[in-house]
Amino acid sequence: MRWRALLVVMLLLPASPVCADFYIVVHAGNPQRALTQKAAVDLFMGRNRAFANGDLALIFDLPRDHPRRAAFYEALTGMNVAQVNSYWSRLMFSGQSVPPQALPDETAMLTILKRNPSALGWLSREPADPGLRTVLVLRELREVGEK
Amino acid sequence: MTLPTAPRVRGLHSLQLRFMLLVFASAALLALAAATIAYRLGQARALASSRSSVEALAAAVEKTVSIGAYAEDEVLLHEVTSGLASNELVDVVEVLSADGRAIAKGLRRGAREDPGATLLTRPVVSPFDEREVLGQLRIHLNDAKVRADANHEAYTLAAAMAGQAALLALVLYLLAARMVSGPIVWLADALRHMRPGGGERLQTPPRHAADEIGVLIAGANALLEANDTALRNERRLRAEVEAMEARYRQIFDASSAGIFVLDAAGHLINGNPTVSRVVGVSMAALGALGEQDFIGSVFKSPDQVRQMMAEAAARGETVSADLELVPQGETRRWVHCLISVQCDGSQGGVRTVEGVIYDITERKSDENAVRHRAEHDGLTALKNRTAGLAVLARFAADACARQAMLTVACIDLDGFKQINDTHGHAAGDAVLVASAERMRAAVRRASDLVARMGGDEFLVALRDVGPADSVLSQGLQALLESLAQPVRLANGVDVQVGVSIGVACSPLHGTDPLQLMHAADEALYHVKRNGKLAFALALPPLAYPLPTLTA
Repeated sequence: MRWRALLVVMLLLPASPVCADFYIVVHAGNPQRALTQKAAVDLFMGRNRAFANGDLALIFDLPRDHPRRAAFYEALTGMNVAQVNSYWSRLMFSGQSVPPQALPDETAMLTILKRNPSALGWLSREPADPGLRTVLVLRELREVGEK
Repeated sequence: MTLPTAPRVRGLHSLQLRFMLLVFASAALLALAAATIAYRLGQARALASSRSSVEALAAAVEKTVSIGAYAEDEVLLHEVTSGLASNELVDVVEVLSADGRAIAKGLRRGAREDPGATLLTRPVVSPFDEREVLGQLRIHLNDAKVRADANHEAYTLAAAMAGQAALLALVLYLLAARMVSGPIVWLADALRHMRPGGGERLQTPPRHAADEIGVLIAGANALLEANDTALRNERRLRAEVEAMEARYRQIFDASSAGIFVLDAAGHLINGNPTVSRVVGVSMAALGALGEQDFIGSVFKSPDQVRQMMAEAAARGETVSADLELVPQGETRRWVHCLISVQCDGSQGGVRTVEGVIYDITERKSDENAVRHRAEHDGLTALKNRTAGLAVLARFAADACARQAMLTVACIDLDGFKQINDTHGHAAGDAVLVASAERMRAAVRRASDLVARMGGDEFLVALRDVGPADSVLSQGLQALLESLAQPVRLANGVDVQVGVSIGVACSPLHGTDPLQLMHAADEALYHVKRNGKLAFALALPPLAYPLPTLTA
C-alpha cells in the first residue's frame, strides 16, 4: 500500500522531493491563506479552536490506524504517537478538551474539506482538487531512503 | 599500736572525681559542639531535603502542568495544584499564565497565604516547544513544617551525638577507674595498713606486672626496703646508745661522789642522787633549786667556792678544797669539793662549772676527835701542854701584831699531892676536874685560854688584858677564891687545895711566849716560896732575875 502510494506520488510528481510530505488543507473558500506550524499545532492539539479571523475551526484527523498518522504527528509536534495519545488522555481526563474528530480515510477527509468551509484536516498527498487549499506543508522528519 | 587511718580522698581532691569531671566536661563540650554542628548540618540538610522533595514533586507534575497550561485546561491544572497542595510541605500552589494571571491555585487545607514564605518557581513551557514559556508554577513552601522537620531531624542528630559523647565519657571513666585510680587507691590502702619496719612488701597484681602501676609498686617496695634497713640500723644504734647511756647514767647515779653541773651564773643544771644525799636536799628540791643560787644555798661559805671557781677558770685546772656545808640542825657537814670550769674558747667566759663532792663529814669528825684528843687533856678536857703552848704562841704573835696586851697566868695547886696520897688518885682526879671547871668558869671568855700543863699546873692566857687593868686583879682574886673552895669527893669528904698564881704580861715582860711563861713561872715560884694562896705579877725584865714579890 505504501509502495503503491509512493508510486502514485512519484508518478504524479516526478520532481517531488525525496521526503514524503503532509498537507494541511482547508476549504478553498476559507480566508486562511497559510498557517504556521505553531498555529497548526495549536489547532490540532486542542489549544486553539478558531482561525485567525476568529471563525470556529473544525479539526479533522485520520483514523488511529492510518499508516501515516504517526509520522504526521511526529512531523507536526515532534512527539511520537504514544506521547500524543498520553497528551490527549490527560486532557480527556478533565473532560475539557477532546481530540480532533477522526475520519475513516483520506477520501472522507477530502469530502468533508470540500464541503465544509470551517473544516481543517491533513492529507498525506497534496490535493489536486481546486476546491481545497493547502495552508501548510509538513516535511516528514525521517528520510525516505531509510524505508 | 593502732595506726591512724589516713583520711580517704574525698570531694574535689579525688583524682578520680577530677578526672571524671574533666572527662564529663570535655564530653559535654564536645557533645555541645558536635550537637551544634550536627544541628546546623541537620537543619540545612532537612531544609535542602524538604526543598528537593518539593522540587521532585514539581518535576513529577511538570508535564501535566505543561499540558494543562498549553491546553488552558483549568480543571486539569486545578487537579494538579490541589494534588500538590495536599502535601504537608506545601502551603500554596499556583500556576500563572505568561501574562501573570493565575490560571489555577491550590491551597492546602488549614494553610494561609504568607507573602514571606519560601517560594519555588518553575517555568511552564509548551509541551511542543520548550522555548515557548506558557507561564510559571509557583509553590509556596510550608516553612513552619519544613523548619519543624529540620529541627526534629537536627535534634535527633544532636541528641545522638551528645549521647555518644556521654557514653564515651562513661566508658572512659569506668576504664580510668579500673585501670588507674582503682589500683592507686588499693596501693594507698595497702601502704596505709603497713607497719613501719614490718618487713611487708606490696604484691604486684599480675595484670599490672609490666605497666606504670607495676613500676610504682616496685618503687614503693624499694622505698620500703630502704626504710626497713634504715629503721633496723636506727634501732640498733638507738639500743647501743641507750645501753651506753644507761651505763653512764648508772655510773653517774651510783657514783659515791656527788657530781653537779652549774651554769655560769651558779644555777644547778644537773646533779646526781649522791649530791642530793650529801647535801641533804631531795632530788625534787634540787630540781626546784634550778633558778636559785646553788652555791649560796648549799655551801656555808659561798665566797670561797666562787673564789675556787675563779681560780679554776684562771688556771684552767681542777681546784679542790674541803668545804663546810650549810649546817642542818646541830650537825656540821663537810665535803671535799673538786671544781673545774669549762670555758668558752673564743671569749674566755665561763660556760659551765663541774663539781665533784665527797662527803667527808665522818672523816672530818674523826680528824677532829683525834685532834681533840691530841690537843686536850683527857681528864679535864682542857687543852694539854702542847696545844696550850701552841695557842699561847698564836696569842703572843697576834698581840704583837696588833700591839695589844696579853696576860699569861701560871697556876699551881698547893696540897694536891697530899690529897692524892691521902684519898687516892680518884680523889686527886676529882679535884683536878673540879678545879679545871672552876678555872673555865672564871675565865668565861671563849677567846681566852685555859690549859693543863701537867700534874697540878695550869696555864691561863687572857687577851687584851694588861697589868694595870682592874679586871685582871679582880679576875685573879675571884679565881683564887673559887679554887680555894673545898671539893666534895665521891665518898662525901670535903678536901681543899691552895692556889699559887704567877702572872706575866706582854709586852711588859716580853713578847715571846716562852719568855712570858718563864716570867710567870718565876712569879709563881716567888708566890710559893712566900706562902700560898696568892698571885704575883712578875717583875719587869730589867729586874730580872726577879726578887720575891708579895701580893
